[in-house]
Amino acid sequence: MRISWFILVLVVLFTLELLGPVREYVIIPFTVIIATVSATITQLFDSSVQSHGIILQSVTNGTAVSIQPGCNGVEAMICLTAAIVAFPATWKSKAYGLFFGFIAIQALNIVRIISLFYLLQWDKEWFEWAHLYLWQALIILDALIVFIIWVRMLPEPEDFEGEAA
Amino acid sequence: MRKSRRSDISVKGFLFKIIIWLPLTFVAWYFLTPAILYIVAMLTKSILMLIASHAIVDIESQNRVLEVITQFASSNKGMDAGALTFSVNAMKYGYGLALFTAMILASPDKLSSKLQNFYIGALILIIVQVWGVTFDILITFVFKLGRGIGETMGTTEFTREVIALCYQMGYLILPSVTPILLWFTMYQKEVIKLAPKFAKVKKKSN
Repeated sequence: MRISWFILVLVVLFTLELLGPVREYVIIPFTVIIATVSATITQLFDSSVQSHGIILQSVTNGTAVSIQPGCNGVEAMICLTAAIVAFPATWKSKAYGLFFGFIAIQALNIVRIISLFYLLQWDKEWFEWAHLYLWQALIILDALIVFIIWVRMLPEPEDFEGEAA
Repeated sequence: MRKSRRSDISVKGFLFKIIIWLPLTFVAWYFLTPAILYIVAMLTKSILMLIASHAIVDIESQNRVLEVITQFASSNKGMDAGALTFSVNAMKYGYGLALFTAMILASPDKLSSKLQNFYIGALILIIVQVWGVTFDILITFVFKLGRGIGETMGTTEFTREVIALCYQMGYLILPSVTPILLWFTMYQKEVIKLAPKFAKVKKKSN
């Protein structure tokens, strides 16, 4: 793995993420989808939960969480993308890694959003702890584990020697 | 081939160990925070005194937050005029230390090596925390305290963009990515045991 490539791709993707048009037309609509999926899953056991844009809200007690940058899993996905792009493998393997990595990160991210939503209703201090520190660590750990599993599942190096990036 | 397979570490086992250590390292980190913040406050103050001495009087570590005392006067009506202050939650830039420590403890290694790696990692992660706090304070001066104070910082459109980018980097990327990168660099043997293909790729690139 080329660390310099990893850092370059990381910085480029992160800078792109911060651009106004990318935020407006990609990140916010994507976050709206995450909020909608979180609300749909939560409604399976709690019908009082609704989503409005990037907000997940309880109609019974008014508690709401807004899914802000850093909470939509995009940064973890950027890190995973940088790692996969920097690792020599075929583009097909990279595409598989990115697809399944996206699913793994977003699945855990939805667990994070739903757990934080209920944690906020229980105790604000624990919510802050889980939100700002614990879940941040768990999501990036998820990205690392996905990357290691992807590398383990890659075909033997001689098989992709010709197509190595 | 079989021999090398037997020495592989299971990803599940490694993850399980980290999950076990993580609550403990978070508790230790929480109780050590006042000491860490004392160092972070000192380093941040030294940097800001070099680049914005006209704006900063002091940075004090108080009850797990950093209190920034500015050169500007507070203008709250009906109250005695005093120095304008604001607080920064410096802990949100420093949780990587808890994660990194859990990863070190979950990796099979000699205690002396673990301690050595911990010292180096902690130093780098404190620098990351200083980065986060420094740009958090700069963002507050340039964008949040009003146009008048923002103008005294003497920034251009370009430097404002750079400050915003460095702040976002220091908040969203560096605290989480740095511990992972540190562990990845320091524990190459364990990385290879977790995924033996790393060794083949490394050999090919040498």
